[in-house]
Amino acid sequence: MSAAIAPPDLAPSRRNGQSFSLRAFFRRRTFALALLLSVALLILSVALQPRMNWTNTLASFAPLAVAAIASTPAILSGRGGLDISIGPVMTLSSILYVGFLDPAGLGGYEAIPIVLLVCGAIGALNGLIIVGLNLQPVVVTLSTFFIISGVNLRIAPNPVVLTDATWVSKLASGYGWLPGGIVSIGVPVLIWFLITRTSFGRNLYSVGGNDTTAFSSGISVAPVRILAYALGGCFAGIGGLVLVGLVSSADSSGSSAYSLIAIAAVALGGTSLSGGRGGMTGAIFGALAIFLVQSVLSAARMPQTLLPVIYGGLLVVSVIIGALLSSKPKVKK
Amino acid sequence: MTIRATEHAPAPVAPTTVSVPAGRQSNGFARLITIQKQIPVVQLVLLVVVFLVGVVTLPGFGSPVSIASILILSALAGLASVGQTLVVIIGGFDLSVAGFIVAGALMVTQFAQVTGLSFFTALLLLIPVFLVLGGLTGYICHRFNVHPIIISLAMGSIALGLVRVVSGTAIVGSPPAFLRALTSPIGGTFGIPIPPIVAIWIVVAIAMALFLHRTVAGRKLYATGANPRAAGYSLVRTRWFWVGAFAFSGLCSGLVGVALVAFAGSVDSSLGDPYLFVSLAAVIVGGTVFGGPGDYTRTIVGALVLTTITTVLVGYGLVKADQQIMYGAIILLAMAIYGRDKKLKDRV
Amino acid sequence: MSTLAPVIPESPVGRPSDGQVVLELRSIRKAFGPTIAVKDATFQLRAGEVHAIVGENGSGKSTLVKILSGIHMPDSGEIVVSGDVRSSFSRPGAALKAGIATVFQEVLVVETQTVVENLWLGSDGFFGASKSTRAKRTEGAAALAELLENPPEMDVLIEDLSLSDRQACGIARAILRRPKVLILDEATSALDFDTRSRLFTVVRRLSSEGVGVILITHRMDEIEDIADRLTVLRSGETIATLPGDNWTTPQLVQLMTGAEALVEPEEQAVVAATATGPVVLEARGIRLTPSAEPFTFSLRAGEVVGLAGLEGQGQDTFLRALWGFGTSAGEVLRTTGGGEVQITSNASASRSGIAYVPRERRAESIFEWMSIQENFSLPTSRQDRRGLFLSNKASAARFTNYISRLNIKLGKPSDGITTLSGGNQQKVIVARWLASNPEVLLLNDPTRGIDINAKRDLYALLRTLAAEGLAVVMLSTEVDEHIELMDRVLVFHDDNCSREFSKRELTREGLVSSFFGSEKEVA
Repeated sequence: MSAAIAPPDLAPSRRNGQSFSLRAFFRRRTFALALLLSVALLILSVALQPRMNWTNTLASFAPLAVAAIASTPAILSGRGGLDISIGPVMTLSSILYVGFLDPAGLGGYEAIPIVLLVCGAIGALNGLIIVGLNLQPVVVTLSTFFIISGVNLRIAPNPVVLTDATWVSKLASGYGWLPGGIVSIGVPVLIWFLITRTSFGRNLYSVGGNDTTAFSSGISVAPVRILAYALGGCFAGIGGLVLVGLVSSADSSGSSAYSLIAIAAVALGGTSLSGGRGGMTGAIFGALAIFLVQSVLSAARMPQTLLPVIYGGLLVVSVIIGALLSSKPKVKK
Repeated sequence: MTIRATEHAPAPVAPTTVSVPAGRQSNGFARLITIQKQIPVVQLVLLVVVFLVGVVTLPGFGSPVSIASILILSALAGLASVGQTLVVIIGGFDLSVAGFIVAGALMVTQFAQVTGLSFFTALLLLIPVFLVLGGLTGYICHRFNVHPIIISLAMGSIALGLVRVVSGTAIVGSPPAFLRALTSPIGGTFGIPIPPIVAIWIVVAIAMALFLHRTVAGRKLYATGANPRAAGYSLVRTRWFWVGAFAFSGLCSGLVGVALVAFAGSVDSSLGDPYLFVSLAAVIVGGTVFGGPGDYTRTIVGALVLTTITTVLVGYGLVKADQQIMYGAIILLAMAIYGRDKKLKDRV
Repeated sequence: MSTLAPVIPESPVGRPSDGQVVLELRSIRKAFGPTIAVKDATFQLRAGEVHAIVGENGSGKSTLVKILSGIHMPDSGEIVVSGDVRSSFSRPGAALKAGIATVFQEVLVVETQTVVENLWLGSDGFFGASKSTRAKRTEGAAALAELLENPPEMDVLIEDLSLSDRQACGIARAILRRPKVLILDEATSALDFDTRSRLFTVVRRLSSEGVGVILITHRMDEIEDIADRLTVLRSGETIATLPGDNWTTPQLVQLMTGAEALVEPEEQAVVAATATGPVVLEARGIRLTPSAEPFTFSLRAGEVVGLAGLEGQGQDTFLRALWGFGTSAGEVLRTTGGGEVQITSNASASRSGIAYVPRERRAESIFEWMSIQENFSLPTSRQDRRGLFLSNKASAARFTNYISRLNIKLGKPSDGITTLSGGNQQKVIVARWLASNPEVLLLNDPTRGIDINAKRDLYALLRTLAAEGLAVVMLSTEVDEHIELMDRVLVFHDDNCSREFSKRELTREGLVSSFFGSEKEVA
């Protein structure tokens, strides 16, 4: 569809090079805008709440950050690769842990591979359908969004509560001096860092930037895309566990909470929604900016009813900024 | 089909692309696909089968009141997908449906109560507000070339928020009595024994068919979806069709919200959610593809199929969760049949 | 290293004609639905030779290249690579592994990546890199330095490079894979003059090292320059293979088309006799880029003007400027009996009776799933309004008129546009714009990729229309078309209108050499 909504190139191209250097700067440092915004909001937020508890703040920030991280690989892989199923997969991971694994005595670290396997498999299945049937990613992940939300509702019609304190609650408190939020965000980032140091990272960016070129140069486009979606699924699984650490329960009605705000965070972080440009740093700073807006608003005693308006506005603005920053300059002759 | 060589065609030289007749082996299956492209046969057969299954296995399913209720539910679903159909034809999709429905419902109930406006004043206010909000979605998507999924969802949330800022979070307020008659299964329209909402649906369907196939604007709308660049070269203002389709979709959702108040008797914040799923699913199941071809009559069939299946399944004790799973699976299946993109190797 | 093709062919050969066969095609056939793109292609490539494949648009050249590069799989036939017999390459990676690297006409780069990443695109495995980053940088820089006078830094983003430099990166990418067979599929059309001659030096070096090079081109001078042998392809069949030093242009044209010449002599006589009317369109002080020279152009009713030049020298910008897309400086004026109207937008151009047929038929003209009649009537559908609503009958009546006039071969007007051949589709598009009753018709390379019959119909139509007083400006990439159809030809070079030929001055050699600008002679 990205092609379908591309406006026809009919306007006379009289754009000159004035804004070019600024755009060039943002193309190189796609996360710069989100970073600046985050710093400004952080100062504002510290000014409003001088007694901020950093561990708690980090812990409540972590789920959104991990959701943004989980949305990134699919977006980078191009062709409008928005993975909307991230939210329900996170919830599924929570329900799986709280409602099934922990009661079955599998609440220890052995839960991690199980959750990652299930969620990674869902992600891989998304990718498989997308590349196998040549369907638009949005349509496929929207369908899985419906399906997995339904499954969540089926297996946990009512919220389930974690009865005993397991290792996951450390994700909210901390490991000794180390705030748990750092671990929550650090683990997926580390996995991503390690895996993209290999040629998979380069291939992923190439596929996202221009898949036909990547294909004709001999890159196996399909496996690269599938792995990207599988990674997104795994990260969403981690996100679900992080969420359990924070709230000690799992609720199927929260399925849709993170999907779109996470994509907004990625877009605000400068990652191009058309693929091939951006990365994890942007996702984290984008999420941070959105999180801080929320906390500044609540610290400033903004009425609850205004929140969706501001959220929606933020989504729209961040997507527009992202589109403007990543728009291609004209081909020079 | 191939080019038919006419007798007077001068052919001194072999044409550079050689065509052969499609062959007589194009059997029943190929013909079925050709017919399916014209008329949604599979969907109609499915509709009849599911309906008969319901009549046979569920007591009371075939009664006039039950059929009237199915028609009313289908009408609500169908009306919620009028705008969606246009948006899908131009190649987008609109997720603001849920937000706009609740916002529309609140507008004529609580908003009207809090502000002291009459029902009709609130309704008159609703029209321009929803047109603008919807149109803004289309404008932003086209101007900045961004995917409508985020913008439309955000706009739904903004619309709902704006109404709530005035009306407050508490949900009170109820529809005026005359509105209830609109969706009553035992009601009639001007003496004809059809529920008013179904009558409205029929009128809308005829209007849509005329608009899409018999007006210049309808043609241009299809062209916008079929090939936006070629449409641009044909001096179609594609941006305004994006604005128009989304504005219309916003308005429809708002009005369906009003009708839903009447149907449900009260407003709650999840009122619109099922209709978001249904509107998309009805369009896609009917066989309208992103960027066309497609038609509102197909959406009507889609809405009838979905509503009948849902009613039968509810009769068997299925819950909301199962419906969601079903919608997801149906959309995926329908897209796998209709909505494939070009293969990578065909784009090189 | 593991995924790379073997580095050096076993036996470097001195003289191309003695080289052993590195690649052989045996009776390759490929059909897309009812259309047979390649019917029977058989040819041999020896190590160390430059083998040109020539043929008209639609003769199956590009399908053949796509089969060799693993994008399409042939329906039947065999491909023999270094003695290894196989039926197809399943994907591009497999072709590269077998030692066949292709550079396509379309510039295939990843715009968002840096130069070094583009040079080594696809050389790595799924997780493992083929070589160290440092080695990639030095080798990549060396390969680019050979092709470009001022090679870009390795860390520059590709999207900041010119089109020619981008293509150079694409070519360097293929060379860096150290192929046994290098395919250049009209890869030179995006290159500037310097890079093109440097490329030919590199090609000569590669062939002396034993690489077999397949050169797909429509430019006779390139074949003359560099080809050791050439194979002619017509309607998907390999017609003949000739030695590189023993052919003539007319002979080649005859082999490619199967006909003597494009326009019959008596029609040429008509061409010369056409009288011209008053000025209908004027471009005053037009500059195509800020640094280009301004020039003035006026078009008279009844004349057919050709725009020529190498790819992307400004002729496209100029043609589009005439339809209100705007330029760097100057103005376009539509002059009628009633006065002058300035053309400032597509809409104003259209209102003043100027019609434009875009270049890319599929991307810019065709509504793929819509019917032939709908494709025809869309921009003029207002004419079909009867009362409030459109009348199908009215539109059918209008269309019937053009079916016979343009000799459009179709089943029913309600069939899908894609059921037509390319030539007939293009006729429908031309009919679409004629239906708006234009006084000026602008055509952007309308005969690209259409069959010869449709071409002839189109030529005849344009001549008839011109005789009736229509003014036509037509951009064409085919030299013969200019020679045989146009009343005069404007040649563009470096975004300047560098030369104008009248009908009398037009010769093939004169036109082709003017493409390279007055100061640069053909190398």
